Amino acid sequence: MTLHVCRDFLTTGTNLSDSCAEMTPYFMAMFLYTVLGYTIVGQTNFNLTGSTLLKGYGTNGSLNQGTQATQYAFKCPTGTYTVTTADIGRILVLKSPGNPMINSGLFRVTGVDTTNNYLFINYRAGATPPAETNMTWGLYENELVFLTTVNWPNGGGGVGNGIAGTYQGQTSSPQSRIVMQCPSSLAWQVRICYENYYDYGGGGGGSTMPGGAIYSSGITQAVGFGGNSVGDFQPGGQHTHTALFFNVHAGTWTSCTSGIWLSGATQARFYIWGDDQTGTVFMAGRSVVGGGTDSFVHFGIPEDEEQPLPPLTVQRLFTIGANQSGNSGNNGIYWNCGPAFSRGGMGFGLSNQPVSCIYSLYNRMDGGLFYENATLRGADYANDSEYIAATELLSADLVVGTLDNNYENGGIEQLILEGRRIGRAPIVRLGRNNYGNYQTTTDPNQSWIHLADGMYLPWQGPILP
Amino acid sequence: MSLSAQNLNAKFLRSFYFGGSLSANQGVILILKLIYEFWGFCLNGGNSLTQPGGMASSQVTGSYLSQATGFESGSNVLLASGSDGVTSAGLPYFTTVTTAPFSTASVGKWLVLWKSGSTSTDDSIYPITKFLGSGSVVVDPTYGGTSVGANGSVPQFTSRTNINYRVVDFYEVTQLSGYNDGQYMVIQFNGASTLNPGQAASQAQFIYKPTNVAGGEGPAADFSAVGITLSPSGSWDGNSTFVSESYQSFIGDGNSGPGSAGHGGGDWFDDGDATEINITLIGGPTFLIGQWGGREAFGSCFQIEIPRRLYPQANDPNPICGFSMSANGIFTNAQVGYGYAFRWFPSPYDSPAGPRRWPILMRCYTGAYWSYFPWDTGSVEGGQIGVVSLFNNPITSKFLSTDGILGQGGVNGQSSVAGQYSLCRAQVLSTRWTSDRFPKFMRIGDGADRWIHVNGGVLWPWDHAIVTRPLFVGF
Repeated sequence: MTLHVCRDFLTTGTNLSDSCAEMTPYFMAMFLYTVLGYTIVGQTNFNLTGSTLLKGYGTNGSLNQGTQATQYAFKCPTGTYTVTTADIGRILVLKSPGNPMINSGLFRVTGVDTTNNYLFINYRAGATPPAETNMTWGLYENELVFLTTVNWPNGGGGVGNGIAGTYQGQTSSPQSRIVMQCPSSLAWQVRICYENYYDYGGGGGGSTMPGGAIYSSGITQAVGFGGNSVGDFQPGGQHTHTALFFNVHAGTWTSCTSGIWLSGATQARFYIWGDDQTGTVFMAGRSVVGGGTDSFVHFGIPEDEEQPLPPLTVQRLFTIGANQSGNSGNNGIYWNCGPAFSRGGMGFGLSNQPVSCIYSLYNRMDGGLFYENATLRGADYANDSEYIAATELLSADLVVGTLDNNYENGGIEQLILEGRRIGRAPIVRLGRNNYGNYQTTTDPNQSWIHLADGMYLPWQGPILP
Repeated sequence: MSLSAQNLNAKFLRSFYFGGSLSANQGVILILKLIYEFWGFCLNGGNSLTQPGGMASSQVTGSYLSQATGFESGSNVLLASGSDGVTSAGLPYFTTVTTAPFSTASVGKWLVLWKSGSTSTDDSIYPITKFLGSGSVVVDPTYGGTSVGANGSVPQFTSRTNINYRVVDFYEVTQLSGYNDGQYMVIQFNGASTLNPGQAASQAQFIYKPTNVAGGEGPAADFSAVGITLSPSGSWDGNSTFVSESYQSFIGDGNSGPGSAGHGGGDWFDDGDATEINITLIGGPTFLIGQWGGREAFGSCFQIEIPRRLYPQANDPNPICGFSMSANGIFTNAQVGYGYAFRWFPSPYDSPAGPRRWPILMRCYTGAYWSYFPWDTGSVEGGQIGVVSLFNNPITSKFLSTDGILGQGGVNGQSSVAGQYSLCRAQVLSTRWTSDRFPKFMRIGDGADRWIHVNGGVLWPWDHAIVTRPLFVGF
């Protein structure tokens, strides 16, 4: 496992009426393709590697040219790409072979040196990048250009393929979506999809869905197999997109897909963790302007998988993230999953259909009476452990098939109950939640960052305020 | 952190039945004598027929035990012993090769069997049901024995020779004179270091206490409120104290929680008599569980174990925890502080000296925490821990059950101490938890990872054995 971290990518902020939620799939796709080595299986109106978006791509790039003036300079190898002033504002994506937790990621191009073919980047780490060569790189258009290519009008409007009573976001539907395949030999895939108005019932307008209920996050990430050239999994296929699996249009399947949804944010900071061997990803967005909520999505293969492994690889996969897009849902960064939390996950059951997936955490048995302290990590007196003079971190398990409804308590029983631990939640760890949000641990390497609610992820070095 | 299942190497005394009528004092004497034989010989015995293993051995003077004279091996208590016992697979006979320990009077007495170093569940205590000859008796193998087959069976003997044995009269031990409150027995966990490298042989003292201790009940003359004192470093001086340790003993919690009328109880027989009681002991190198109940007593239990250390050895060298419940049944849907949701857990950082109650945390299978209450309610089916189907995977025929970990937070009746927060100090290994809606006595698990539903969602180590006597009476 080599963990690559996009440590702190700040959206442009040039046009603060644009939704960061809508930009998110672009950042994710760039990271998957350039840093983790995903390949593209198929897409519709999400042409990541077309000439409009991808301006340059190659290997053998180098970062930090050795002088104070060039420490943030990335050199495109001669003959591969010629920098111009038009590159300013674009996004340079780097895969670092030697410093993957600090030199990999997305970086804004802030200037150019056309004589030396340098791209100067905003490193956003409060530190100098270690000099490095042999870097895989991709230069992409900025996110504002990307937004002009997305088929998702009216911030989630649009139409599907027009076949009433079904999941319309497939086949001939023009809405933007892409299926990418991970670098692992398991060859599992992720489908990133802008859900259309009909399917997700945005604004309460879903004709068959009660009370503004919605299928999903407005933008979803589903994992599985069988992606096709237009960026779809198949109805009844091996994947976690429940509405597509059952090919249905009914509010009872609300929240049975998940994704990342920064509701309201118009400028945000993004952090992405990814393993270039398994393809597993944790992506978090932090609202800077526009208020709204932070959000995250997490998908891939667990660590410490339960043995023996299930018969199908898809039964080892998971995705957890926001599963409602309305502002009424708090899509923040927190561990809660399940009904009423706007957060949920999906796996694939031994029954060969999508089932729920949740983070399984240790909790006190006292439950109701001490409800507010039930997690212990949330106790107001929580502090560093005196045993180790540090903040403790624990693992969380991933358990599928223990919820029959992902939307609300008292909802219709939809999902099959077939409880099964699939493994340890990869990358993320659990700790006390009264540690400062977006603060790093105090050990010399600043080895972990606390996002919120006791969710800690690997880190290295300082972070900007 | 990987919290895999541990092979507990458990042995069993399954529902030892005593059909007579004993006072509460005599009842706790009987229980301690059973612990003495089961822990000292069946679990930790060497080849000595009179010197038990697994008792405090670090004393500089005195003894691991203070009881009435004759408690261990008095002539009325230990009727015979030898090392030439033989059993045959599937047969209920115990025979000797050369010794002749039996007579017609042996019927109704008990046979303690063990082989040094053995992990066989045949090492247990058996009632003698029929006299066949001076070297041959019939016993009831289901008190211990070995459950055959993947799905379990009525336990039976396996074929063994050179078995050590003691013929014991457990009734007579209760009739000895000279028992008083303050008398004790100190057991020692010699297997602690096999679980936690470098751990000392931690100790636990059982001590008779008057039932009118604070929070207790019953006549002043009673001493059936047995206290348990834990010694992480195993420092019993053989006389009166644990050296360099000052952890208080704890008595059994009663059926009134700390948030209402105090912990109460303490009396292992709830101020009743020990009449027609059933006693079960389950033990292994790192744990000991006792449970009993009878015609006049609700279920009580204690549990002592070496939990798996999760901090570095230097920071937590000798973890040992325990608890005791008096005539309380077993349940978990109560506030932390009593019920089956905590352990007394001495800490090197306790100040003032504890031990304090440490809440048990368990995996939640519906998300970050249970929807509303841990064992019940929640209006969506999948949110109810009490729904059997939540824990039952019908495709794999497997059941979800969770381990428990010990963290330090405030509990009802015990506020948190500044600076003494711990998220996860140790893992409880001798108990797991599942839905309380599963039938009592349901057996789950495979291989060495096998359990029985005691009640209330609590699982204890088991071997899939089927027992026809009342089991876990009062639970």
